Amino acid sequence: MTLFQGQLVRLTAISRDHLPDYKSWFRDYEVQRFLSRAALPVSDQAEEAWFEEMAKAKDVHLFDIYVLEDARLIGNCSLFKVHQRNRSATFGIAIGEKDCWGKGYGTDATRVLLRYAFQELNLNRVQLEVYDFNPRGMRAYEKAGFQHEGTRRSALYREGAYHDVHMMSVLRPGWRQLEASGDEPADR
Amino acid sequence: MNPLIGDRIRLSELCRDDVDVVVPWFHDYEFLRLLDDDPVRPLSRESHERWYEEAAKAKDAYHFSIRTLDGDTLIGTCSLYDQDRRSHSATFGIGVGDKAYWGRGYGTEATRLTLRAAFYELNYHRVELEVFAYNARAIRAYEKAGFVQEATLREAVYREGAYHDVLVMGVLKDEWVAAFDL
Repeated sequence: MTLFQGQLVRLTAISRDHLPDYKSWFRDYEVQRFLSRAALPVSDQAEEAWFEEMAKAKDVHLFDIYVLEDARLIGNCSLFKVHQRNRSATFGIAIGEKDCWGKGYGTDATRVLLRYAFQELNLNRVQLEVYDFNPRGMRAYEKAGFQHEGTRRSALYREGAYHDVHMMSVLRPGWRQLEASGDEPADR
Repeated sequence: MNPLIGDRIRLSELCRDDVDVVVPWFHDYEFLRLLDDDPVRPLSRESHERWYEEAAKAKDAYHFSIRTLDGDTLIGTCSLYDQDRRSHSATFGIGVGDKAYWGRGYGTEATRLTLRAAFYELNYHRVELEVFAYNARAIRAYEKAGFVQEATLREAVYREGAYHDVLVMGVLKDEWVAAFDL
């Protein structure tokens, strides 16, 4: 019953001790291809530098995702590019443990992070980008309250072809309504 | 034929002396509220001088001065920036600071010339931009130059006490070449 607990997962602080997990996730091509950076092998040094940067960053809110049932660490999610004046941020998530895909953990983590975004950070808008070859991601985001806003055509090159990038967002009033209506189960 | 010369304007290099002309633009509220989502505030001459030095060094951006062919008057600047090597794309930005040239097609022409450079010289696959939904004149100009509206980012910018939508527009090389080939 805390801000960071959902129905299936809870979010906690990232930890240097979890670098081996982060490395294994972000070196897995099946995970990488949905993320914005180039889907290439990442050195130990680069992963460690990434962690140190995230741990210091003032405009990034990055969390570990744990499954409640078995306390297993399965991925990361974050709000970044937090913009004070526009009260907006960008959302990103990766479930690195592939056997945990398709179980609703990502949707639940997204809901928890949105609650944090609106109720604690006092944001007005959270946006994300998702690639056209990731329909599972899009469905999870829709369930959590994101709406499709448009498509940047041919904006990503991957696996030898250009792909469309979908823009999605959720605004504070829409999120409140969703919480109140109970169309999707509330988290508390 | 120089591809950066149009019917009424040309895209030139940035010159240090341009700063004299540019500084008053950045004290003009009407100009600033349309330009970008930085807080609208007067900018010092020193900050422009710094920007010009940075711009000259930038490796991932191309900046141009927009000058009239008749009289060589500096009327604005435009840029291709945020280059993405992998997706062969860049972001376009323009500001026509001399209001005597607003609403007369000069911005449209500068946009066309920049796209010509982007596709024929720099070999980009895609160019995109963001524009405030309340900037109808600019949206029309971008459409005339070949941009297509792709997304509406709801309430993405706060200005003048309210949230405003931001439009994302994009143009792909193939469609631009088909429609505007020289």
